[in-house]
Amino acid sequence: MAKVNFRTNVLLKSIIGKDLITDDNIAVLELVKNSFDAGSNQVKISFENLDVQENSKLVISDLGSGMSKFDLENKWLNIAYSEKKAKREEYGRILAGNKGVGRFSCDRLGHYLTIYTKKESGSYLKIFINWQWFEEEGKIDLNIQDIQINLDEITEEQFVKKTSYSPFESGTILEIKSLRETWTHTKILSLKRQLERLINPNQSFKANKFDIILEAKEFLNFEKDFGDAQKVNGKVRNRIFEKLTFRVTNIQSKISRDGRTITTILKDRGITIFTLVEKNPFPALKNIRVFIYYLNPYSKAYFTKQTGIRSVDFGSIFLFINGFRIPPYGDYGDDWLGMESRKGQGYKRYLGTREVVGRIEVEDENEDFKIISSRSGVVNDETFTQLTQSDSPYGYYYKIFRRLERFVVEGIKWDSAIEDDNQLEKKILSDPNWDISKERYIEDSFTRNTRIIEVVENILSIKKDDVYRLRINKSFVADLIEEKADLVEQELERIAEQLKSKNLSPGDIEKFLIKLDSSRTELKTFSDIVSAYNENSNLITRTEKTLLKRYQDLLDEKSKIELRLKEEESARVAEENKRKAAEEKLKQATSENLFLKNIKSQDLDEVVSFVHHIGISSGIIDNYLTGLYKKLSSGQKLDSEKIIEILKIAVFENKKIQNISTFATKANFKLYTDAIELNLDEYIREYINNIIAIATDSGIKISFVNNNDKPLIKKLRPIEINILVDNLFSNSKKAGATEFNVSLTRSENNLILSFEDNGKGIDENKLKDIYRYGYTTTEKGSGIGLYHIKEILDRMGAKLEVTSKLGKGTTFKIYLE
Amino acid sequence: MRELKILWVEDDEKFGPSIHFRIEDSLIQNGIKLTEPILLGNGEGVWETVRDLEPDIIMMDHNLEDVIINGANLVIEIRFHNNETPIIFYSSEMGEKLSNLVKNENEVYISKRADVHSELERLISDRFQMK
Repeated sequence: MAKVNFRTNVLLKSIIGKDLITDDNIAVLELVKNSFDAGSNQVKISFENLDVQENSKLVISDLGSGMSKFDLENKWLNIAYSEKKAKREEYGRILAGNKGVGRFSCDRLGHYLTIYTKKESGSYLKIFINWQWFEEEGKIDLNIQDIQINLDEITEEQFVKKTSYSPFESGTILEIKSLRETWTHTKILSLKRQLERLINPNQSFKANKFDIILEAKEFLNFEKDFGDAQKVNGKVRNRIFEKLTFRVTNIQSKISRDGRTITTILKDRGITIFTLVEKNPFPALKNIRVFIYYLNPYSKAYFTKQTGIRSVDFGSIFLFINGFRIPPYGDYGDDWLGMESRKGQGYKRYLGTREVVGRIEVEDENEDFKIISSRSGVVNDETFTQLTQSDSPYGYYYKIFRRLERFVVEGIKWDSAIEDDNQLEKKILSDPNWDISKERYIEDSFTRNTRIIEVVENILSIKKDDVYRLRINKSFVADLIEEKADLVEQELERIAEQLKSKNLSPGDIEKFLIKLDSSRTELKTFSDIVSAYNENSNLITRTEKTLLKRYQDLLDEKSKIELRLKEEESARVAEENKRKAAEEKLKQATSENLFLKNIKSQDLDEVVSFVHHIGISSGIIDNYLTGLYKKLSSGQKLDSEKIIEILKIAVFENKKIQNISTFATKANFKLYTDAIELNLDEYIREYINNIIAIATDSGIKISFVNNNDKPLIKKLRPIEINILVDNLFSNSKKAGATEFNVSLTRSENNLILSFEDNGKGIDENKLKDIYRYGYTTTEKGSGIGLYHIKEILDRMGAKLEVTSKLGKGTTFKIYLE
Repeated sequence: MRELKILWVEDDEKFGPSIHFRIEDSLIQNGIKLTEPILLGNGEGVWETVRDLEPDIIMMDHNLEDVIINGANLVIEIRFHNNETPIIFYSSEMGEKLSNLVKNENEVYISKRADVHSELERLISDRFQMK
């Protein structure tokens, strides 16, 4: 038996060098990663003497940790040795390169390699390699380790004299000479594109900043008039994703570092549609972010304008692990996520690689994702599957992607522009003044927005238990409700018109009922979505309830008509009467709907807005005057100009407050509408519901009991009811009450609205004084409240009766006819 | 003297400066100087501003008028990007429980508008004071 061993023929060099790394750009990328791993804040890639092949040079230099003699001999020259397996992290970075073959990229790029490297407080070291030494064919006995390479230690003066480089504290310079390929401007530009896509645009950590600088001085003149996107000289930036955030519909999501939650934000042109925090169902995934941008025809043209290339050529969804891109994922023609094949099945319902760009960023501390090689991506194991699975149960990427997709496909179908992509692109690229206002779409924005809210719940398709927090854009919804109320109103008007003009059969009324019903259903959809997740849904509930009532009324009408039709003559007369009644009711419904719309958009909003502004103005006054007082009383010398300036501000803010309070206490302050037919029972119940939250917060239990069977419809100003209830509640609170009970009862001709509390009560002897302007029992009160209430009630034609006992409580009874 | 940069996401442009005016003296006595308040009137570009200008404290008004999105959403968005800048989140309106809206987000302090000045002073003294 003999002992034998492996030998490594010199030709091994090419196998792991220029024959393995077949792409020049990838070669440069590997070397850039080495600079990154050495802790350098920047790497400079410079091309020189490109016109003469033998003298052409590519220099990659960094200011990282550099190498010592030991490092060169035992690590750099040690094929396949990679410390990166042993050290996960260095210099605060998770190491990017692996496989230990990055150095052979140099072989790919040029015939000769000179390395200058220096560690801090070490000396300059030089190594020269002629790769041809390793290309002797047929030499069976020539091993790779037989080739001797000179390692020189040189002084700084020698370094400066012999090379054109400036001295440095630590770092590495790779000087690759006699480049194998011809590097034209175009080729270098293509390298730049790759480098742009290499860097994670999310460079939010200044400490770990890593800049890539490209230099090709010979082209400076050639490209001096080009746009930045077409220049090769300069810092490589990846700004495209930031610019996109404002323009396009996009979805961003992240799995938290501890893997417990997923936070997702859907944005449409810079407006947030919803933010959602839910449980993370993927046990293998953590510390991952997904950014997906949808490009409509306009966006695609903008993309080209910004970057100089078509979005299709740029690629689609990229994968970054620990800060560096994993090719070929996302490159033009690559469909690692299977979006194209999926799209093929679903025809128009799915988005493909041409309509989206984006990235997945993984912070992988434990090497959960196993990188195969620079061109083959990542091992397809459980972790990878949980990220990428394209059918049910969907992986994380598709979980997020499908939400964007639904939103785009169902929610904003209108994003199909009127002209085709090519025409659009020409238009936008040739017009330097093109902006977003020139965009034209097939549908109008209301239709679009309506659909948006309708699909929001479908988009989310989540179990309530999994949701930790969901916020849907409130104003967005409120605007939609207002527009919806408008539409409903228009429908009602149309119906009223019809009723006026002809004799209607039950069949006709049936048609109207169907129309009304669909409006109801749509509103119910809003209501369900919003009330499930939002805090303030009273408006929708009110509108919905009104419609329900109208619907039911008409339903009643319909059955009554059917009965009467049995009798011939009296049937026709009765129908005539019923028609008139329905007309009346519809008019009322119209005005009620008007009322609701107005409540939301006019009065209640106005008052809320006023209160908001009063809060701000008084806060500002408080701050400035307190600050002024503090400064002056501490002896600070302030020049009179500054004092005057501050007083001016205070006076101005105060005038705002005065203005608002004038408005609020004026008798006919309703600028926009008159008093309206109001169902008092319902209105008060709604209003109480509104203030329950505030009440409970203050420790008061509110109850509302309606013992009234005949709804009271009266012409009233809703805002006055609000003020009435607010004031009485506020008084009870000031009196230290813990209960505030509101009830409606009917007695003979009167409806009695009663407010009872268990506060400290009022001295019976003082009862007659309470309405006097300025009467107050607390030092904080202004005494305006009850005075104003009396005014309101007088105007309403209502009587007020107050009973109270000291220490027991107070009851206000309002008698309405 | 330590300088602090404060970002105000608040639609009234006088409010931030008035708070600075009120508290700047007692801060200077404790070695803290406030730079000119950075004012952002509505929600647009809040994350980009935070990322680029790196304020030390963010003051977030919940009710931003004339704006589609409100303060709570902006808080969630800022935290989405792993930013841990302390936020004082306030509102004039009662009844809405601000704390519910930003439950589980770190470093968010709830305040009434009327108490903002004292909340800010407290935060500065806890976090940034040179002890």
